[in-house]
Amino acid sequence: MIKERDEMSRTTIIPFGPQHPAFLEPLNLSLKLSEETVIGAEINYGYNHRGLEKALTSDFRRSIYMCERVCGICSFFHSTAYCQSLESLFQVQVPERARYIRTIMMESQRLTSHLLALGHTAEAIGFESLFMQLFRERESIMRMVNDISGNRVHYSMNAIGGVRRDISAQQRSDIVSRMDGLEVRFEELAKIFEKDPTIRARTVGKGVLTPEIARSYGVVGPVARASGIAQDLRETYCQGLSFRPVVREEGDAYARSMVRVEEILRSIDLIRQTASELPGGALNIPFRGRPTGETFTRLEAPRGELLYYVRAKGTTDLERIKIKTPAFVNVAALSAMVPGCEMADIPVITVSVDPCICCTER
Amino acid sequence: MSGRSNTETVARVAAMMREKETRLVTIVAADEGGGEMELIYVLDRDGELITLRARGRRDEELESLSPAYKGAENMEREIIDLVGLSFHGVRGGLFLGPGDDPPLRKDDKGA
Amino acid sequence: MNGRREARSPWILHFDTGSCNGCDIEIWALLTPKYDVERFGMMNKGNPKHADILLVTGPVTKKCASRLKNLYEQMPDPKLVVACGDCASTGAPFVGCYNTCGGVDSVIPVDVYVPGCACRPEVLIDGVVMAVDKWREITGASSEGARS
Repeated sequence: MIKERDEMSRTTIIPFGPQHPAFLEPLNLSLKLSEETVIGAEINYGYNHRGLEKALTSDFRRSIYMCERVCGICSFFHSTAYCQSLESLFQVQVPERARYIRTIMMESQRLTSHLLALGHTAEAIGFESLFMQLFRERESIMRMVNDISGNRVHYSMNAIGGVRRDISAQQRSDIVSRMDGLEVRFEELAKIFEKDPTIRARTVGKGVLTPEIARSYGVVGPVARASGIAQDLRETYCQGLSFRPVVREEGDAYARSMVRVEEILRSIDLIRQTASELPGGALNIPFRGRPTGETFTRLEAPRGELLYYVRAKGTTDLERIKIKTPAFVNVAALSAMVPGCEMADIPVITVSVDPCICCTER
Repeated sequence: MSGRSNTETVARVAAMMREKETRLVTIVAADEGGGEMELIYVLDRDGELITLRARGRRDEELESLSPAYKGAENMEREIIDLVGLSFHGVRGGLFLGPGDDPPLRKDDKGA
Repeated sequence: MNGRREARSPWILHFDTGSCNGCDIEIWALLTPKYDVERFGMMNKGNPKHADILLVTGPVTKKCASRLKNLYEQMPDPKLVVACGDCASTGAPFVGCYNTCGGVDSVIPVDVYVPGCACRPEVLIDGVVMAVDKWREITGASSEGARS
């Protein structure tokens, strides 16, 4: 029966994007279809390439501002990775309080990022009311970070040697009570993600990435953890806090969503721990001179491992800066996920890897 | 037949990935000026970063890691676009169009 | 075509031309409970042929320039363009980056510029409401009838 269909059908190429209602960003998939079944996909990049690796080398102080503009969803991770690179070049030890404040802000941004990814998934499925509810919760975190940093998207809180803004005692208790409220409300939404028949029908078994293929693409973050690869850089970064990574085995779009759902609860927990144990002391330590040497710095961004390579030769401008973003490897793995799926599943599968084109292309 | 400058490094990376679970994190390419370049293969093994370096002439065709490792393809394509190196059997055009100058070249003024 | 025009509610199209995503997620925030721009009589749609107002984010990368022009040309007249955020308005902070054109108005005409990096939802609302008023002026639709 299947053989007969193969002989009868002919191959069609359908362009998907760069402007598409399911995508927030410009990405183009060239889909090869046999009737309704996708048999291959070519991913075309370059719509969002601004050339930041060159721009970031112009002035190492100005780059703190610039590197947040690599990506608006994980801006704080970029500036933290950049500042940590420069700190290691200057051999500055960041004060404990600054390290905790960075953790609070990073985990808060992870919440907004994961809620966006889940909301986007709900929207791609057509579950409008769930999308609205997730974004209502996301908005409460946006307000919280706005209260702390004065900004909603680019926090501009990082400095080489620490942070520039403090978290007051009032804000600390506000953070804890917000996390308590969010946890209760989000657990309800998590149940919908876990059990709702519509979501299950649209995501279970879709876009499967086996551990072998996941390794051959080198995927990271929730995409890797949903395929049974237990790697999370927070295990080493969050020393002293109780943390363990979320891992699932299925490797499909459902597993990727469920990893994010679980991670939201872990992040809530981490924020509460850090906010209640916030140590006293200075916010930042001054540095002197100009950077020299080279360094690799890694962080666990919402989409996975973010690596900054910085090389400097004692001048104001940097010699070379290389940013390896998690989306760069995760988006490429899409071409292994889509063959065999239906055309209608493309938005859900694409959104399930949480594609971030501005990170991918920089 | 001088051999490609990174052949040995690529073979070592591929061997390391075969013998034990090792992930290629990224390939950093830097133009050293004067027609020289440096490639750094960054690997992750049990959460630890390992770097392997290769140096050579900028105009030489380099050995590609893509046949051994799927994830390397886009990294190499990006290097072709941005630094202007060439890898055996890999085409550029990932981020930039044809005819665009590689912006991270040293003696190029860029835009 | 005329039937929809009489409905007096403009439809919106969003296109990202290489922004950092900051303004895009704020546009999404506009569609959701806290801000909800639909109450001003506008709807977000994905099809340029149905759109009256184009929201553009990003400094316009070289590869996006022709796509942006193409989208703009597909929209029926009268149409308005809102440049959302600093980089869409002026190209900053990506001025001097080798792969950007430097702002939306270097490719297509812009009617409303929304400042901010990233632009705040409140300012975005001001911007799109300004565009809606302008659009109603052009089409002769009264703003009274729109909020039905």
